[in-house]
Parts: sequence; C-alpha cells; structure tokens
Amino acid sequence: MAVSAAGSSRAVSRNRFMLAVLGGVSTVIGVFYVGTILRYLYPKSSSTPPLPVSLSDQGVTDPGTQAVLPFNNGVAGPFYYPTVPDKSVVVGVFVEKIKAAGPLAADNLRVVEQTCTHLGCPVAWVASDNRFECPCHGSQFNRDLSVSHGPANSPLYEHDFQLKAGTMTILGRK
Amino acid sequence: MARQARMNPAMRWVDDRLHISGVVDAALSHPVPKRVHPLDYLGESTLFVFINQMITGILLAMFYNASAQSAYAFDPATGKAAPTIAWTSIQHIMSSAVPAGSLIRSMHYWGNYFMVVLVFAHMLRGFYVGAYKYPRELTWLTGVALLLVTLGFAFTGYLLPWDQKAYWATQVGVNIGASAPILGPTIGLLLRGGPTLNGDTLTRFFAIHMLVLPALIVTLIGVHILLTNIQGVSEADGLVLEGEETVIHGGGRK
Repeated sequence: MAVSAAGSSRAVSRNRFMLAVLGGVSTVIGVFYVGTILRYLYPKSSSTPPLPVSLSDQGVTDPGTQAVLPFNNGVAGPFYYPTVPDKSVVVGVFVEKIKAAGPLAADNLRVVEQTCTHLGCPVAWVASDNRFECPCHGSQFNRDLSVSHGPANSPLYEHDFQLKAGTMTILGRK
Repeated sequence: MARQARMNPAMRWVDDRLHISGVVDAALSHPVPKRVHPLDYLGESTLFVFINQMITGILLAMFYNASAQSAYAFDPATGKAAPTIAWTSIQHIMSSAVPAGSLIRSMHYWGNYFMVVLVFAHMLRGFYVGAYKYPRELTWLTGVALLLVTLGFAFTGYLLPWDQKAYWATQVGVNIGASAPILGPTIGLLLRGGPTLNGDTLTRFFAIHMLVLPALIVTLIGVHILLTNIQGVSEADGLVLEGEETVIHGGGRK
C-alpha cells in the first residue's frame, strides 16, 4: 500500500484493521456455531445395533427344545426385539442351525440379522427356495449367508450370542 | 407524480410515506407476449400447488404428532411393533373424528405428486425453449435449487406417517446417501440421528420438513419470481412496453 499522504494511509489501515478484527471475530463465532450445530446433530453413540437383549422376552426361552424354536429347513425366526425400546425400533434375527440335521447346541447355531446388506430392508426366509430373499430390490442369500443374487454384494450380518441356562442372549453384530 | 395520479387513494397514502411505487413497478411490470402457450403456465401451476401444500401442511400440523413412541406397549406375543403416536395421529386425521381431515390430508398427499411432476415439467419446458440462456442463468440456478428443495420435501414428508412403507423407503433412501464414499457413514448418522432409523430420525425429518425447507423454499420462490418479473418471460424478448421506446431485453432469445 503505497499511499503518499500520511493521513489517508492511517485512515485506510484503521479501516482494514477494523475489518480484519470484525472478520476474525465473525469467523470465530461462525465456526463456533457450525461446530455446535454439527455436534448437536451428530448422534452420541455410533455403536452398531442391536443392543444385547435376551430373546427370552420373545418367548424363545429354550433352544434345547424343538417346540420352542420352530426350525424350517434349519432356520427359525425372525424374532423381533426392540433395540431402542422407547422409540419403537425393532430388529429381527434368524436363529439358524449350521447343520440342519445337527443338534441344538451353541456350536451348531448361528444368529443372523434380518437386515439386507444392500440398503437395509428386512429379508425373509423362504423355505421353499432354501434362501433369504429381500422384498425391496430382490437380493437373495444362501443358507450359509453368502449372496446368491445381487444387488447386495456382501453376506448377511452374523451376531454374537450366548446360551445360558436355556436362554439365548443376542450380543450384537460380529 | 404522474404515476401517483393513477393510484387508488390507499396506495397513494402508502407511497407518500414509503416512495416504493418505483421499486414495485420495476419489479412487477414487464412485457408479456400477446400469444402465450399453455405450457408457459407450468410455473404458475407449481406455485398454486405449493400454496395448496402450504395451507394443507399447516392444517395437518395441528393434528399430527411426530412421536415414534408406542401408543401402548410392545407386544412380545406377536413380535410386532405396536402402533406409534405418529401413525395413530394420521389415522385420527383420516378418520371421521376430524371433519374434512381425510380431504385435507389427501390434498397434501396428492399435492406432493402434482408438485414434483409439475416442477419437472416446468424444468423440461424451460430447457426445451432455452429459457436457461442469457440473461436468465440465475433464474435457472434458483430453479435447480427449488427442484432439490422440492425433492427434499418429498423425501422428508414420506417418513412422517411412520408406517412400514415410510420406514423402509426412508431406510433405503438414507442408506443410498450413506453408501457414498468417505463421507457416507457420517451422512447416514447425521440424517438418522443414530445407528438405526429411529424416533430421532422422525423428529429430525419433521423439523426439516416443517422449518428448514419451508424457509428455504419461500425465499427461493421469492427470488425466482422476482427474477422472472424483472426479465419477463423468455418469449417476450424484444417486445417493447407500450409508451416506451427502448427494447427491454436484448438477448436470451430461444
């Protein structure tokens, strides 16, 4: 800034100084607001659903008994339980026997989330086709959870579980 | 003052104090071609449907209750989610308990389809006649923003009945956004307000549908119409206002 008159030079620099201060303060306030808004909107817990909930609430109390878990070609369910109890969100799981004719023991059982890995619709177990099928976009999954037909491109989610005193407790996605 | 002489007394009273008749004239007076095509009215039709959406939407908000809490407890015997307050409030509006409720709700429901179709038709017509060209680029750009806001209305409004169709359609819609590279998971969490689509998603979408988008769309419609009124419809390029000698618009012919 080459200004010949000293007076006008001071005037310009004071102007610019005030602009810089105002701009700086506004930027700080703006960043504070945007940051706070994003923090407010970003959910606190991003852990994967569902919460560990005992299936005994659903009447699935004794996996040792054929009568309580009505297996169809080795797959039972879906069983529903609320993941966010007050907000009426339920997640469905299938309980599946790894060997369809095998025993009802923890090492022969698998818990499969109903959520399609494509865009999240609930899949259904279609015993006559021996596979899981999604109503939204036609994805199909084999009994071993692998994709047999797109558009999904990854297998269904498996869940960890515990079998204690005849009660199965779902722990969440593996 | 010649302009003031033509005004009615009430307008003259206002203009004496605010001196705005010149501004209003500049914004609202524009040449209109004698022969107009029915398709030139797609924008006005959209505006009409929007006003319908606004009125019926305000009325629906008086009975709608955006809560995903169950009206009564979860029933383990059936394994089904119990009806929620949001869903039952829509059933209430649709029942005979609310006079004309089903009419108001249906007008809002079908108005949405009219709105989206008309917006697209209006856009195609503008594209076909080249109305996006100089000097109307800004009108086109505000139109693009209006298209996105309209689709935002359709997307957020679809969830509000909180039934199976609403829930799973939104699940799919949000997951499409969430499958974007890098930012996808963050977008999903911000839209849903949680790892799953839950009651927080409903109130979030309700707030966007009721507060954010209306403010946006009213502002954008104002700018869109102001620009159109300043520049005239593209068919009118080269027209001369009666009593004036200059051509109003030079370029932008189709």
